[in-house]
Amino acid sequence: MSQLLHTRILLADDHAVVRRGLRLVLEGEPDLRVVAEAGDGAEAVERGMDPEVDLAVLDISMPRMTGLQAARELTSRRPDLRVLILSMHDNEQYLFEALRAGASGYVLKSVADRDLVEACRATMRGEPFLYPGAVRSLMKDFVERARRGETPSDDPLTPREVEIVKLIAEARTTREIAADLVLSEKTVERHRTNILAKLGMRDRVELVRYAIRRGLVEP
Amino acid sequence: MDPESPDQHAVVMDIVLVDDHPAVRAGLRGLVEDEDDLRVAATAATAREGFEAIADTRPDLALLDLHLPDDDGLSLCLRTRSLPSPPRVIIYSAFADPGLAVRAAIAGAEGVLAKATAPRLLLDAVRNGADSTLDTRALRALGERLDAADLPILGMLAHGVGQREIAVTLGLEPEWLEARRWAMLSRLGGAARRHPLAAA
Repeated sequence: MSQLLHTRILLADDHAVVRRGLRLVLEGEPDLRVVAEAGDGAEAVERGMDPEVDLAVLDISMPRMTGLQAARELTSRRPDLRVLILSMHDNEQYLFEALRAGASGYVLKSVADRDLVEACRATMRGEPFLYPGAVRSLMKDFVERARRGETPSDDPLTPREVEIVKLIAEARTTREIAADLVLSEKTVERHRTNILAKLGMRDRVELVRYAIRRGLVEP
Repeated sequence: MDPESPDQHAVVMDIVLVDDHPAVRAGLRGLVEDEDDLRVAATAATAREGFEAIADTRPDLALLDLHLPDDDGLSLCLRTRSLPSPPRVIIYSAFADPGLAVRAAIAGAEGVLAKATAPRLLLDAVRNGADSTLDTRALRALGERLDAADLPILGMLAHGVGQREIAVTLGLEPEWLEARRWAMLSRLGGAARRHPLAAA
């Protein structure tokens, strides 16, 4: 596949004036191009399904479907699409909802001229974009969860490793796991060693407890 | 305006835009600058900067966002309208409703425009005046929350009577009338705001 020279953006906001302003902000940059606009969340989902769109910038509050609903829909139907949420609310609940909905960034409208361009670029590099207040909120949430003994949402394991933890906790043998995941038994063994090392655990018993705590298996 | 008209004046309307969202400022500026007869005299992100810009540039019109970080657009409007030869003021808000229109009239605004207003209609209001009719039910509902003594002021404002004429009619000093309007606005200040995620 050829290297893209610019990021193709879908811009969704119910206010035409805001869309126009955002377009001016984005199109001042050589690497960003607005290729589609939407005036509500349902239209954003429709336009965002177009494979010509690389990144959807969604206002959080829109008629018909909110930006969060549209983000959820788009990220589940098009896992390759990147999504940014634009919001007038410096509010952690919306921030967490946005991240849960699959957005890789949350940009405050009040500083959109400063942050939006950087957020688009970070997102396309595969990095999250959060404003400083959002980072504080996430850290606070992390610390509180840790204090309550909950597993931090920041996962040290790769999705593949999580898959394997679940199978181990379900008491499957190495051979069964290897067959299931179409891996060699040796690879499964190596994953197992890595998982134990990452989690600082010694054996299967601890691993099962961990899987239960993470909700991977029922106790 | 007929572009063919030979006696066309090169009258340009100067506008000050006050909104804390840069995308809104940029969008409005772009919209206004595409029009030959309109010009952006200044933009501002806060009520304080906005008041200074209006006092300095003496525009024909000020388009004021309702929610500003340091004050609300209505009190900025009232202060603006107390300047000598004040500009027309239109309040620009995401939460435009009949109650806001009444409060905007008390603040001396010509009218309220919803942020969802199509650009064409927005330009039309900028040139020819915003719709200033007030909803009678909203007038009655808000009137009930005011001092009886303030109702004649509200009634005259609702009928588009100018502030000087109101002061003369009621035998009030202009400063006193302004103070009454401040009091009315602050009494009506906690107007119901909708849930931010509710569909428009």
